[in-house]
Amino acid sequence: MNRREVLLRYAEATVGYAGEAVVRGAGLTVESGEIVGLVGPNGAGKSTLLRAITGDSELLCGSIELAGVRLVDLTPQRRASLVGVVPQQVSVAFSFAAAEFVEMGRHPHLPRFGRPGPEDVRAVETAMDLTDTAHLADKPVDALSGGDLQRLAFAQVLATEPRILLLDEPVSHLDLNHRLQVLDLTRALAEKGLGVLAVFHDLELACRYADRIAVVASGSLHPAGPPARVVTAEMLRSVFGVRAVVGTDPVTGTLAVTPIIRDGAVARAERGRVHVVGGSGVAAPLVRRLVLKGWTVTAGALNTGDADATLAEALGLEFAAIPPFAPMDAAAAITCARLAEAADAIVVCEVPFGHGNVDNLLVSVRAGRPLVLVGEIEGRDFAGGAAASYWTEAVAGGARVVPTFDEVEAALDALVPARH
Amino acid sequence: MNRTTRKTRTALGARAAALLLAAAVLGAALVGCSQPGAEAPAPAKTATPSFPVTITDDASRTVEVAGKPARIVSLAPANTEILFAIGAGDAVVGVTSYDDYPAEVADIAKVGDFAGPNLEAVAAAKPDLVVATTGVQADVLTKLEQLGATVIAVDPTSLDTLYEDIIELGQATGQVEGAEETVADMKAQVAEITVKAGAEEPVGTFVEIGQDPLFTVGSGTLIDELISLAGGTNIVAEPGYVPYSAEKLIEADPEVYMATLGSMSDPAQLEQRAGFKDLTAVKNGRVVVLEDNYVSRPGPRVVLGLKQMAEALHPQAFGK
Amino acid sequence: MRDSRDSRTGPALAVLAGGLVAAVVLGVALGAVRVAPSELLGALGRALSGQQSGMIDTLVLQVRLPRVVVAALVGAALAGAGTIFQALFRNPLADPYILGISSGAGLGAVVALTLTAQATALRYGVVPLAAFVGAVLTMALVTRLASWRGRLDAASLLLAGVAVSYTLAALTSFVMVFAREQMATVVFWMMGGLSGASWPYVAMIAPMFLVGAVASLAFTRELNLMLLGDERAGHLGVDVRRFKLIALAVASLLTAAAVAVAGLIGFVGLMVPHMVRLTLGPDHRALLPASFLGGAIVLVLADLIARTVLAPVEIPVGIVTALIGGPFFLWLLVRGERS
Repeated sequence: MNRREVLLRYAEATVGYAGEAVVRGAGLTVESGEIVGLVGPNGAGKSTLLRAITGDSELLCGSIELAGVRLVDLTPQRRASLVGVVPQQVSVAFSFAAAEFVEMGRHPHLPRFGRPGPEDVRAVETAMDLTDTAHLADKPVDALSGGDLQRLAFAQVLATEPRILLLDEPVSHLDLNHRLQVLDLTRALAEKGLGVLAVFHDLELACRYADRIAVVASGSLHPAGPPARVVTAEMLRSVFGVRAVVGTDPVTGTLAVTPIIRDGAVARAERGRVHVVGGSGVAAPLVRRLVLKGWTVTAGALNTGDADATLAEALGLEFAAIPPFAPMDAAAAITCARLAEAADAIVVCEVPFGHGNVDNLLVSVRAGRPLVLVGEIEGRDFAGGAAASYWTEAVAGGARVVPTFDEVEAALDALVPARH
Repeated sequence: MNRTTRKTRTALGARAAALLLAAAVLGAALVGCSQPGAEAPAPAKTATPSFPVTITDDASRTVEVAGKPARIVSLAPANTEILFAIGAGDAVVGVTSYDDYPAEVADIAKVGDFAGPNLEAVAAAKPDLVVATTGVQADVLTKLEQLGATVIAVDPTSLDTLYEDIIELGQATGQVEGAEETVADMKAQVAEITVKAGAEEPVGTFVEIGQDPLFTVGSGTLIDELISLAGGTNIVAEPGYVPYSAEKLIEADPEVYMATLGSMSDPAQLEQRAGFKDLTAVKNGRVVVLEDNYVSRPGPRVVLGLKQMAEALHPQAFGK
Repeated sequence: MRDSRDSRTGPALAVLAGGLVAAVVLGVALGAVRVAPSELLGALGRALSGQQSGMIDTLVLQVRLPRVVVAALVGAALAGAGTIFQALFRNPLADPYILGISSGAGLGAVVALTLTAQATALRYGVVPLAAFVGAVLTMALVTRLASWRGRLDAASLLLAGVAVSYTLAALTSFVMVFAREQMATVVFWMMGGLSGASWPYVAMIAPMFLVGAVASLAFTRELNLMLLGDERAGHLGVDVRRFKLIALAVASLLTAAAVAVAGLIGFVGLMVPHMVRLTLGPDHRALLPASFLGGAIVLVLADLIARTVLAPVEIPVGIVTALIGGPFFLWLLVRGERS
């Protein structure tokens, strides 16, 4: 398998509509055997880049080459025999039989007065087998479901036997099974030597199926790279305005993206400061809610890799990071004390306290700030009674105890008056 | 013609007509005075003793004409010709744009065309009598009455009804004598032609009044009657004005082929039409173009049309 | 798999061709004048052997036969044009007059009729020519206007068509105000009729029909692809803008030729493709030739009815097609199915 041949190249391409540029100076190559994914916010120009190849958007500057030939030098028919476009949506107003519909994909290869011959029939049959649509052959297309129609459209493209595939988010209407089927098929076709350029809205699918990903945002196409390098928390924040956690899916081994909060949903952080003591993901729901409400949240000492730590990182919250499985050290304690004293209120979540993290509780109790304790200390003291005693001290000192997270916000509202 | 011109002409025409009318009445008075034995009604500016008169017009309407009309509007060229022939021409203050006979009508205000009178122009002419036709203008009759005029519909479909209509118009306009003279004159001319033509064998004929599609006249029409009187047999038996089959025409193969001027201007053209060049009439050169205004206008000049037809059908009898 | 559709096409076309032959035979055999079969054959024989005699020969060979041929050509042209327009607009209710061709042809005819009022001999050649030129110029104008907005899409074409159509119709009425004597003639022309049909008319329309028919049969595949939408057809290799111009030109040529010799006959261009599509499906490789044949059959028979049902009085054939068309659409409505 020759990976070297560049099937598609954008060279300093500026594309747009009616003379207005949408993406400027785009540079990208797609080689045979690879799937390149385009990601980016809506309206960024991903589809515009694709459409420039078929002439549905304008190539205002620069050039696009298909298998080494400039786009402008190709007739529509020649271009169609090289490039297959799998559309986002298919609408059919006339009742062709499914097989006739797929056969339309042979058009670029048929001579003016020619009738479809045996190799055309074979191409159609192969295409329909690959897309699991062979059983629909005689059905009229206007009676098919959206999903069937989408796969049939894919078959139509495959019947063309193109060298390059352009996919513009073609799986949105498909059920889980067929979604994977189409993408697995795309993967298999790439392996056979096709070059694929696909627009993805689902980042995880992009990470899973694309060999390289390029981000399209703010009028430019950023250089393509492997998914792990391109899809990062910072990219998600700056391009999508979403604070998310990027990790590795333990089952598939591919990148997993967990969006937490939209920047836009976050009220301006003017409500006040809250220091939250948590760990192991217990604090996560509360932290999220507080951030949404506009609280500046800080956290206590958390082990890196701990779910709450990852969350805090993703949200950009201040906390004392300690190595995995390590206990709090003096530095961490000092940081925690500082954060706790700077807060308007402190919330202690329902986490167990052992020797390694009981200082979180100590610091919070001694900080002299309004304190909200969640749940009961019973069953959570693994620090030899230290936690229980701090708890009692806090309660005696006027700390509020609430049974669950649902009451925390009300308690905070009472303790920390809103400033307007 | 734009509104301004029309109105000016109407105004001028109205004034001219008024003057003429005054002169005519004065003249009639003088004439009446100087001929004590005349049977003319007593000359005066007031209504003659034969008014009011009740008439049943061609739209089966009973119309009462209260007094001798001083201002008449005619909405069809045929009716205009009748009015002038019977002597009521001086009272005519409005005609259609199709009118072209007699020459005097050129100076009379135009108040509409055959398809529709311009109600404003008619109103401006302030008529007390409007002579319209049926069919095309049936719905307009009511509107005209609302303008305050007496409306008579004149639309004869045979010679006899034509004569009756002329007499009725004579009564309605106070020109009874003129009407009777006109009718007598027409009858005499018709008789003369009929006698000559009747002496010959009737000749099969066809009258084309429209070319594409081929339109002709059948039974119950005035032209059809003229054909019979002129010594011809209309090959078309169907009633009224009908689009006709060229095949049937070829089969019937009339001896003489006639066409009105509006439909066909040049007999030589007939040969071009599919199948026509083998018609007997075409081969023998017996194709005649009839003057529209004679045969299509039911008025005094139909006798000229009849003559033209008779000459076409029986040239030798008429010295051609 | 696909064979069921393919294998239906051949026999269907054969049946239609046979139907056309039958319709033509019927059209020549029947008419206002009764002609016995022996006389018919005699006439045909004499024509072939060069000798000609008698009224029957004239009737059959000079009046009836060319009329049937013109009816077939006009019907085929209108149905074919209708098929192309329905594909271009992706709308089974489009007809050949959808872009205002009728108004342009009407204006041409009215002007020609008015100008030749005193020289009616010229009408024979001038009126069809003027109608043809009017139709063609209208199409050019509409296309030009539509592409001025940048894309030759259906909405632009329709808008331009409506605008031009209304303007030309107004101009036509305006001309008629000053040529009232011609009004009856004009009205009849607009109703559509084949009564003046002759061999010179056949010579006028046949070449244009052949060009239009051959050209359109050559691009049936693209017509199919256009049904997928402009964008999708482009994906699959159709030069959409260029194709639309060509298809519009061909459809206009067919319509203009038909209208020039027969006036504005309605419904054929709308009904026939619709009916054929319901039976044979939307594939233009079958639909287009079948529409040509079907249109010819329908108009030959409609004209036969028009000239025999009240013989010797002839009804304008446009009335007959309208009388068939009305109930046809009622039936479609009742049936409830979209093609």
